[in-house]
Amino acid sequence: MHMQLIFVIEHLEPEIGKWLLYEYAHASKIVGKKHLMFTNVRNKSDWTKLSKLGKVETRSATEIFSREKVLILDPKADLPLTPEDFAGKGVLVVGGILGDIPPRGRTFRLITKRFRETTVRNLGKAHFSIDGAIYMAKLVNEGTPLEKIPIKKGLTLKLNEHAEVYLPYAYPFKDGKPVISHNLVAYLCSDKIVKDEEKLLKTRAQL
Amino acid sequence: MAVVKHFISKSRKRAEIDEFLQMKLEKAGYGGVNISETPLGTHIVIYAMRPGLVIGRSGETIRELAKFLEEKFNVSNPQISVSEIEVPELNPYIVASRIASALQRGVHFRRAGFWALNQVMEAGALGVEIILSGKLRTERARYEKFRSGYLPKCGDPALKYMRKAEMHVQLKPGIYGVKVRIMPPDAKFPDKIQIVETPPVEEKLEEAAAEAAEDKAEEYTEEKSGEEEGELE
Repeated sequence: MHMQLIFVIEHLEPEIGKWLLYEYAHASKIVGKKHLMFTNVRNKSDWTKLSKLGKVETRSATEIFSREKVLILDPKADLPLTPEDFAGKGVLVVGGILGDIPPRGRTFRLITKRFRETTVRNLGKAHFSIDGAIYMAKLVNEGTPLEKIPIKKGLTLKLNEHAEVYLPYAYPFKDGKPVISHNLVAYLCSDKIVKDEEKLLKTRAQL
Repeated sequence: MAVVKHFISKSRKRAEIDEFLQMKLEKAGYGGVNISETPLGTHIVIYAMRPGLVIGRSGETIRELAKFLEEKFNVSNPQISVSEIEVPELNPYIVASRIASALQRGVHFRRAGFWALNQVMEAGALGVEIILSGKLRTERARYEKFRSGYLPKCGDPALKYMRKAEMHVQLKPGIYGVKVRIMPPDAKFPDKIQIVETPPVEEKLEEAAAEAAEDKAEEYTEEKSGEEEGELE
């Protein structure tokens, strides 16, 4: 692995929910706390939560790093990521966004547009989760071509005989299993998510 | 190509009418529409849980609807009739609207999905599938699917018998989609053959023997009567 490379997650969500936190924690587990940085974290409570997973910066990545050193992962980029793209780069920026289906192109609007004349690459046509994108980028940085990393579009989690949750995102595969946070899978299949969402729906309904 | 365009525009018009009626007759428990063209005009059958609300006071609402369909959708001479839905649980529009109203009341979509699934299956459906999709602000977009029973998605029975409906619900954290597919209990499948039981062979033989004996007896009586008639002559 290119030891100097820092994986930067530009936090762009207004609040940190459990889902986002599980993805961030898994990303931290993949690349290690030392190689992960969260930027654009303005909220104090978010700052405390994320400081356990990596370095945290209140400023945006656009204000911290010079554009020559930066490589951005954006689904809207024209070219796919190759191991050669990492030459001379010290920072890989990923958008800390929980995507919509179909994607709204927020990475382009909120990161790429602000980082003009920077190397921008995609991970193919598929839409990855934050931890999945970081895992893919890590493998490519280590020399694996993008097309040789096995991926699967769409993941089905069985709740019981009659119900399932379908995640319409692409997930890289490692030893025949999808690279996804186990805590997230357990959360999605549990009653906790139902209770959390009910609280959220009720508070939003009162607003 | 012109033929293809003709059918596409017809289907589009049908979908637009369906969407319009769904919005307009929400309170009446709208359950779908059947449009058929006749030489005299267009026959429209509206299915609803409360037909009275579709008809209105002395047919006021229905007349308004007919006028609107004629003007807005260019439906020629619309003849509207209203049919009451006998089992609302087997109607996908009703099920979808019930789920939608539950979501609007703040019920979680997983609970709403299971509740609707049980109701449809208890009503006697052969199969049901409910797909709820959407995104909360703090989460990713996802689909929750609920399935029960037998529900083929392709082939003749799926085209002929499957009933489906789609609905969108606007909630504070975002828009949600509800898709319902129901296979009604009266659906017939070409691969499900009912074999009629044949009576046992012994019984058949006995019946045949009895029939043969009866025939012989008849022949004998006929011959006898013929002889008697000859003697008389």
